Amino acid sequence: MIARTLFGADPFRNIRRLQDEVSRLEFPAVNAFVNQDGVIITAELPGVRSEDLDILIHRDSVTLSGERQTEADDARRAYHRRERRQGRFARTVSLPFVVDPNKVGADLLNGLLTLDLPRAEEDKPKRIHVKASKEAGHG
Amino acid sequence: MAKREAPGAGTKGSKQSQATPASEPELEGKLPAEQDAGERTHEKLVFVPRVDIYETETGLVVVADLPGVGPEGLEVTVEQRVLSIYGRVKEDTPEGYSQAYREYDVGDFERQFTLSGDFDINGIEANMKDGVLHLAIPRAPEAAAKRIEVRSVS
Repeated sequence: MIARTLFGADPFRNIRRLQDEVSRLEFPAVNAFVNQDGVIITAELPGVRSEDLDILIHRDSVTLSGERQTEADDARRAYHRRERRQGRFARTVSLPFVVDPNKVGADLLNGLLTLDLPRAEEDKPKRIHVKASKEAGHG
Repeated sequence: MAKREAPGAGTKGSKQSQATPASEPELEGKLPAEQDAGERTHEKLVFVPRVDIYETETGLVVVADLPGVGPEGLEVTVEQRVLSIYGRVKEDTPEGYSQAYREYDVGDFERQFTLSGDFDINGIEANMKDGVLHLAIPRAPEAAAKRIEVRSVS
């Protein structure tokens, strides 16, 4: 807010615009949430039916591909507005760690995809207990 | 681009849009709602849903992308020829997780259209599927009979 009153505009606006420009090239946009046991990825896929969505998991990457519904007699229609995107899409997202493909949960509800990707057991960090040595006392 | 700016940084007039061809929106990504003079009761992002609007023999069809909006979170109202669509979206950070990466922001969807012409408000059919709203807006019967379509060439 202070920056805006000083400069009249957001000074980081151009940088953010550039970032948006880059990420806009890829569909779908994804959000990722992590904890030590896994990662959850969400994506907005309005109009994509679950049978039209393909999810491929390979080690530490996930590929989403599919098709946004197209309606039959499009060409003959008199459109006032046409803003919705259509057609095929494919996107690969890198994950912060290897996931267990057998435990992945995928949920597509109201055009919102939620992918629950648990971290593979063998990829989880192992805690090493350091035993305090009693012999090295102060004697 | 996706963030809705704080109100007060400038005001814009009515954001109602005529159901007529307009400039093409950006190719991808979510469309941020324009700033308006109204102040909201709570801080929440609002986006303009992408729509297709087309004519049929009996009326207009409005198709709107509302990802994350369930039938219970949707409000469609018509008042004084202004058709309003409002879709509520839940915050998406799952419990026990922290955000690692964000490409899109989460917020409600809102858009208004002024219906130009005689429509049968009571005959509007709304259908929500896979996060896409289909609204069939029939023309009023007498208007359909008398209507003469005049189209500009441009």
